[in-house]
Formats: sequence, structure tokens, C-alpha cells
Amino acid sequence: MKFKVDVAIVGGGPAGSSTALTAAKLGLNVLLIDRKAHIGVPVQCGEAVGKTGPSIAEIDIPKEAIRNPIRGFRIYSPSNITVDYAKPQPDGYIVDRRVFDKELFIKAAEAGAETLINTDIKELVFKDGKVSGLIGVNDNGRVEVESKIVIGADGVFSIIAKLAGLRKYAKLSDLDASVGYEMCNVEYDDPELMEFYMGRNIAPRGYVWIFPKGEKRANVGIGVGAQDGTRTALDYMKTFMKEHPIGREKLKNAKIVEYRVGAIPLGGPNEKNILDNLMLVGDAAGQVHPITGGGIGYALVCGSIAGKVAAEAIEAGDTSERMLLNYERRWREKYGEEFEKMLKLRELLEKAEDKTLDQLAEILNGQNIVDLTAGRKISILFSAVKKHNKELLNLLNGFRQLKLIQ
Amino acid sequence: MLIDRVKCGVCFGCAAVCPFDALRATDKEIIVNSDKCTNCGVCRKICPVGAITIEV
Repeated sequence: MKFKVDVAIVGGGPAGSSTALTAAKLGLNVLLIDRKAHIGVPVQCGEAVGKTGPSIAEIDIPKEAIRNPIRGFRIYSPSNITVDYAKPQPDGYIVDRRVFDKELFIKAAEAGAETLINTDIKELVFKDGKVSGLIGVNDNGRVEVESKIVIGADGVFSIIAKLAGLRKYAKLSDLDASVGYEMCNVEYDDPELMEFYMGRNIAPRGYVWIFPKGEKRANVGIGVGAQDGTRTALDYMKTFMKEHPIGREKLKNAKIVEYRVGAIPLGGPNEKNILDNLMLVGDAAGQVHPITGGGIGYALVCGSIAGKVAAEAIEAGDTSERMLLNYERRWREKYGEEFEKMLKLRELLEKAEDKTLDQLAEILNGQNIVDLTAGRKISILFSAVKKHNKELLNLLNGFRQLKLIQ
Repeated sequence: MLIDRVKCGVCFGCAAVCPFDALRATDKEIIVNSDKCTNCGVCRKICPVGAITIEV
């Protein structure tokens, strides 16, 4: 099979479909390629949209995919002190990724993008040292694509990013190992709160999550930092389900209906996401919140920026790196600072001992978290902390430097 | 380096961290290039399910 298009997009997840949808709407000749036979399957995700990253007002979520509105979160500290943060109205959703991804993919196709599923891209083609297309394979045999612009939207283990030389291998510290389940009969506290469980013995350098999907169904999972190899993410998850005083009660009648394994990219964006005739979007670009691992919202917005820039470039007849710098510049203007800040915050939180997290949770309890994020009561906080813990004081000073509290 | 195909969830974590480009992923499995693999064990540390053993 041979194709000649304006834009060839590798990866039909949220980033790729959003890019394709935007570019097709702007009249470009688009080819959207995915390796899978079933878009959206397997799910490798907590399925939360909108609590971190772009607000839900900014992004267009397929209605069919929404499972449950979310108002906020409840964190359980290592000693199970709870911190609640909730808005009066929903400002996020738990979605069904199988439906979510497929609906977006269909929308892109309906807007005019050509689709090619079940197709494995093997090579980037270069002409005079510049990207000029793709070579892949599917059940019809060899696939050759000639394209003015190639978009790599092929996820955390992006083949395009590697072939383009924009990403080598990931550092262990930049990935969390993750195991997740879809469950029914889960006794969560409040269907509109996402639950997080923290602690060195619970999920070192990560957390356990229980995200309500309504009707006692939930997305339950764990992310942990790379281990010495003796205990795996799966081991920690099993321990949580059996032994955690709160968790085991909530999950005691739960039944597992889906099991998934994944790697969560937390290292922040790649240094560079463009070449002549090429852009990276979504997980492939590292556009993921470095603490929560959330990336759907960023993928949608950055994909739409990439689609617009592609249209501008093709109209101008200039798809050089210099032109595509507009993509890099625009998305970094929106999220660059936030990613940097969150990377630093992650460093701070990783260093904190369980005792410090407990004390932090005590302070953030009740109305305090609302006041603190609004910049009130800070002096009371610091004087309370000074008395008992230097480490916590350092952590709070770090928060202040990052302007998370004022 | 050996992969337990029953445990493996094909999440590509091992392939993402391999410093020697010894692991390739298809949609359904991870393929080890034993010429490139040095048995360094980095992949074992990120595997969420303990599917990787390093031969000594």
C-alpha cells in the first residue's frame, strides 16, 4: 500500500486523534495510523481527566466516554490522616478509555482523516537528511507513506521519537511501574472524590489510587518508582488489597474484571520535540504531569496545537524545523513552567519521610488546604511546623519557593 | 535475560529503559536481541510484575 499525504500521524490515542481531527478540519490530507486492531484497548490508565492539566472547559470530551463526575480528591497519608480537597461542582471526570479513544479516533476519521489500523510502523524515511515518510507493515504487506509532516504520537515507548533521535532510553527515575485493575463492588467513600494512598511501605515514590467510576465500579491501581527487583508494583498492590487497614475494607468484596500493566512517564517533556518535517505529541513528547502521571488533557490540547501548526506550515509551504518551532513554543508557553514546577515538587515529595507526610496531612486537614492554596494563614502554618519538624519546614519552604503556597 | 511470557503484560517499560536498545516491542510481545543485551538488569527494576530474570 502506498500513501501520499500532508500529515502522517503515528498513534491513534488522544494525542494522535486530536492532532488528526484539528488538521483534517483545517483541510489537510491526513493519515492516522495505529498499531492496534482495537483502538483504546488495552487500557493503560487511571482514566481521570481534568483534575490536573487543562481544565475540562478547555477540552472536548466525548460524552459517550464519561463515566462519573469528579469534584476533588481525598489523600490518605501513611498513617491514614485524610486530606480532602473538593470543589462544589464537578471539574473533572473518570472516563472509559476504551470509549474515549475510539470516539476521538472516529471523530478524526469523520472530519476527513484517512485511517490505517493494525499497522506497525517500522522505519522513518529520510530524504536528503530530512524526514519524508514512513515504512510499515500490515496484513496487506508493506506500507509506504510519503508525507510532508510526520507526527509521532505513539506513546511512552515512542518508536518515532527513538528513530528521530529525539529520545534515547528513559532513566529509571523517569518512569513508574504500574499495575491496575477495573473492579466492581468497591466501597469507596464518596463517588465524586478520587482517593490516593501514600506511604513508603504502601507505594514507594508513588501512590495507590481508587478512582470511582460510579455504581461501585472503580479504576484501582498503583504506581511505584523503580525497585531493586525484589518487590514489584504487583507485590505492593497485592499487599495493599490484603493488608491496608482502609484499603482492604473497601476492596474486600471487590471483583477484578480487568487487569492491566503499564509504565508511567514522569520525567517531564523531552528537551526537543521537533525536527524538519516532524513533531512529537503527547506521551511521546513527555507531555505528562510529573506527579500524577496524567496526560490526556495535555495530549488533547498539544495535539490541537500541533494540528494548527501543521496547517500553517503546509499553507506557507515551509515545514522546516524553524517553522515547526511555533508548535514547541506555543505548547511550552502553556505548560512548560507547570511541568518544571511539578518536577521540582516531585523531588521535594520524594525526599519526605512518612512522618513528614503525616504531619503535612495534619496541617492540610479541613479548611486549611483551601486557605493555604489561596495564600491565607501561612504564618500560622510555619510557626506550627517550626516546633516539631525541620524536614517539614524545609518541604514547606520548597512549596513557597515554587509559589504553590504564598 | 529471560522474560516470563505468562507474567509479562507487554507494557514496554523494559524496552523504554534498556540502555543498549536490546529490546523491541511488537503489539503482542517483547523481543530480546541477545547480541545487544548485556544482562545489566535495568529492565528487571522497572518490570511491574517481576517477569524478568537475569541469567548469571
